[in-house]
Amino acid sequence: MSEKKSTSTAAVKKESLPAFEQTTAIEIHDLVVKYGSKRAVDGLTFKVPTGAIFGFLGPNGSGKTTTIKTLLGFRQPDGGSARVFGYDVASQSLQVRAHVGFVSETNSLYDFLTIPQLCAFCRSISLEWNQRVVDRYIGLFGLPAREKVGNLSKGMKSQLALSLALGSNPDLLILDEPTAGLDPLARHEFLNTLVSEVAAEGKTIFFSSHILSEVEAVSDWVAIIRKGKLVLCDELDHLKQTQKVVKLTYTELPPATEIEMLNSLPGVMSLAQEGRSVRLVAHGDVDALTQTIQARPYALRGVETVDLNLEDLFLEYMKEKNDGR
Amino acid sequence: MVVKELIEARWKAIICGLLALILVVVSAATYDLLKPALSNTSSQQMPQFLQQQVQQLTSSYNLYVWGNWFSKNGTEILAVLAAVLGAGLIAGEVSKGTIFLLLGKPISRERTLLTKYAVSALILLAVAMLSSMALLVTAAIAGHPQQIGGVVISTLLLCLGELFVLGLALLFSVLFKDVLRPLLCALIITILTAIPGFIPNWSAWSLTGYWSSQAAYLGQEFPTKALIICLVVAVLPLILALTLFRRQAY
Amino acid sequence: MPNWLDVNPRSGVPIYVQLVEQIKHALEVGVLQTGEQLPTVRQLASELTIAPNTIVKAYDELAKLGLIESRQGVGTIVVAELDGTLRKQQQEALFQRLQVLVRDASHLGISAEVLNDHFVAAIAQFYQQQLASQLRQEYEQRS
Repeated sequence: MSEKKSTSTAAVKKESLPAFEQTTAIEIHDLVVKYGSKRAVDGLTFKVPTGAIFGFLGPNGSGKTTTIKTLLGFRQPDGGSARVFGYDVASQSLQVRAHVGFVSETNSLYDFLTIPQLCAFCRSISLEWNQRVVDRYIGLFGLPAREKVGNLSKGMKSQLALSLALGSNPDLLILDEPTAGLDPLARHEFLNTLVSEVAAEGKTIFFSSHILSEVEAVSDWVAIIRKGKLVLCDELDHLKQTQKVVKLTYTELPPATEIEMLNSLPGVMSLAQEGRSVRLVAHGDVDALTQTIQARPYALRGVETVDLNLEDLFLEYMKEKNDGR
Repeated sequence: MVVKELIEARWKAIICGLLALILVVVSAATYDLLKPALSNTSSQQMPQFLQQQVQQLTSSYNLYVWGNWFSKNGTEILAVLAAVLGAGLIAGEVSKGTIFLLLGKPISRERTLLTKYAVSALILLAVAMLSSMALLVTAAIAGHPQQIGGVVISTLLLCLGELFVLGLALLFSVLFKDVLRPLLCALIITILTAIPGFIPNWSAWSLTGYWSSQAAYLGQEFPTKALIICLVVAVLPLILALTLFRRQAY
Repeated sequence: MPNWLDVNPRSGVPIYVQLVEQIKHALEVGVLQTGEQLPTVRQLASELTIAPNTIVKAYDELAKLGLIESRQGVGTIVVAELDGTLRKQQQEALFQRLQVLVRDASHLGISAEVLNDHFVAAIAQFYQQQLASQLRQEYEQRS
């Protein structure tokens, strides 16, 4: 049974219509966020569809946390815009936060409070609160219900933070490196609850991580950010189906002009040559590409198409492109 | 949120409160014992100006008690409490990382800051009132019952004055990320505002002087001027802190 | 809970494709029978720690192939027949793999006789039952 709390000073009500955008949870457009003169986020543009589990990947210092902080109104954008469920993050931050459950990277909680006291605290600063939901998750995780927060292990604190974030019945969960510092068992439990309980209820989950394997296992969508710029954003399945490595083995050493020609073919993202072996990373219609190559006058002993997993893709995109792509 | 603020501040409040109570009770209870010793103090060690003040303050129980608590100990203890409370309000959250828990919720920054300020102010008021009540009780037991009206006005004036320290500490708490610097800055500035009080003919420029109006305590006059000054000076750092906190990036 | 389902998230093959393939295979070899119920999206997500949407995609694909059906109040049921076009597709894929195998063998310089010997040995190993029942049938016919 959800209880609505009306606050004396807050004139903000959690709107469910009409401003609430139903299909796109997050929309970022040309976002620029600066730290002094340095651009931590540099012209970022992508969308997060409602109901998706969206993994936001990138090396440390690439701008992930800055992006998240801007979405939640901790910082103001220096350029561009961002919307959460249609609400502008700069001017309608209260509305944004009314629909979002957030767990920060460090996940610091008030150690001197007990779990019930912390719940009461969160309830007092939320617009909507359902203690039954929080209790259910606390039970699911097996947390000691009356314990002092400071006595909990790191894994338990993460679980508690997630439970609390869900107490305000958010439509979107934003998690900044939620499993960082957790042992494999705790990490697995956390992710499992995330997919089997939270995602199954239709909530959108936007989480940043630098642990590829977990992003790969649970994400529908993946975006990779590097030095503040978007490197790719796609459905993970689509990414895996359209990005392939093509290995060519020539009978004789192909001339440099042919290599150049290969590099310039549409869909070819990168090329590496070692004697008669050429390794292409291609995206799009890879079958058409291989047909084009096989139609070339240079005899091929072998053509092999290899699938790429997320790690392969990530490494590929993190490489500096020779032609500046 | 109020409950959490109170729980967080409990030890600061309790320790300062106990200290305050002890000081009040001691000063109120020992006048008769100390009076002979005080009036015989050698006058060569102190500058003429101060010596006159001391003589005046020890001449009667009321003045002694006022001088001891409202003019000196109370002001100092409550100033320390105000600075300690204020310094931790924002910087404490930032240094522990819990600020993100607050900022991520759908409450305005104004409400966060003002609620914290209000709770700290209430704690100051509670400690001050408790001390004043102890003063009244002890004085009555010692045989020198004080004027309740004067005590009440003085307590309120003192609290209002201390809000300046609280506001100052809060302002620095917004500017700095650690708790120590706001604390020191607030205390140092407060001490600076008290210095004119020690310079002959400059006492009108001592801010802390306005927190403890002798005339008001004795029931001689209503300290309108002092109240206004204290109010204005209390509000200024608060408004500044609010403006800055609104724009602060985390 | 189907413990024969084993997806590898780190593969270059999308998870939902793996699911579809494995369920199809299970149907083929009889691990899954017609009329059996598949786990719910939520159960499977919890079991494998993968996104529910992935499972939905897999189930949608299987439904499109006519292999499963989701019924109100009952769940997701296997409706496929063990024989039919699916089996034919599997067989054709297998024969193609056989072709590639033989081609590679010839490239490697393996002689036709050696290859055939290996083939016969493999048949003897895996078709034991079939051969045994064949032999029994022939024996019974004679007697």
